[in-house]
Amino acid sequence: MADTLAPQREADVDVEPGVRPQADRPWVTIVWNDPINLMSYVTHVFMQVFGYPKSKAEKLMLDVHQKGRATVSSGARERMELDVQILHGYGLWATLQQD
Amino acid sequence: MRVTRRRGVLKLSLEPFEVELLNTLLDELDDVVTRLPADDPATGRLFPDGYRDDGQAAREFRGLTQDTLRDTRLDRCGQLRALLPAGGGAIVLAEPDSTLWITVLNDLRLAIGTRLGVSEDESHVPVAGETEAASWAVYQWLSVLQDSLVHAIMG
Repeated sequence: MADTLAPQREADVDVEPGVRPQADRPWVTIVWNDPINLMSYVTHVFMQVFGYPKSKAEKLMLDVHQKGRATVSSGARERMELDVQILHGYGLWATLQQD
Repeated sequence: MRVTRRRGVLKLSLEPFEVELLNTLLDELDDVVTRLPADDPATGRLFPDGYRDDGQAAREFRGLTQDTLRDTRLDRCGQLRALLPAGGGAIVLAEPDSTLWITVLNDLRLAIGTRLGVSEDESHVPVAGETEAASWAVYQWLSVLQDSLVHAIMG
């Protein structure tokens, strides 16, 4: 059958209501709890690396300490890889993943 | 060891034996970072995976970043060695030296603490005769020094 101008059937994409497509979800940098890094040091690193005020840095540090993890930044994958690399340089246990 | 901050000036005083100890610890750290021995738990802690649930991405990330991180750590060891007051004494710390101090002290604590199996349980007290008592004492000394410096830096 010749090509027509009739609309093609939409490609089958399973998009559940309320769930954004994979590509749209941002990447996040997560810092995990570990028993060696000092609370004061972790706070200081968050302030220095991300420019967070002390109150926000302390809140994130406490999340890491008490909940076991905290999301410390989000954005493009390349940007998060850079954040993880910098945090590894400070000795923090950081990983990135898609949110 | 003594950390003071007066009128914004951060000063660190070290005894001769403390300088000697730091030199020895820096040599050990330099060796681990250079060789990356697979049987030393410090290796995995100093160079962790960048991805938790994606082995392929973790390998690629390591391939892209590990050499730079190694060079950074080795450079820092050399820089800190150069800052140590030979024979003990006091040094004034300003940026970027103060950040250098706390990051290298952290590397030392990560290496030693991982080998000791440090856990959240802080009740462990080394006792005389314990094989690892000396390492525990060094670890705790490094912790006090790092914590004092971080608090002095933050003001």
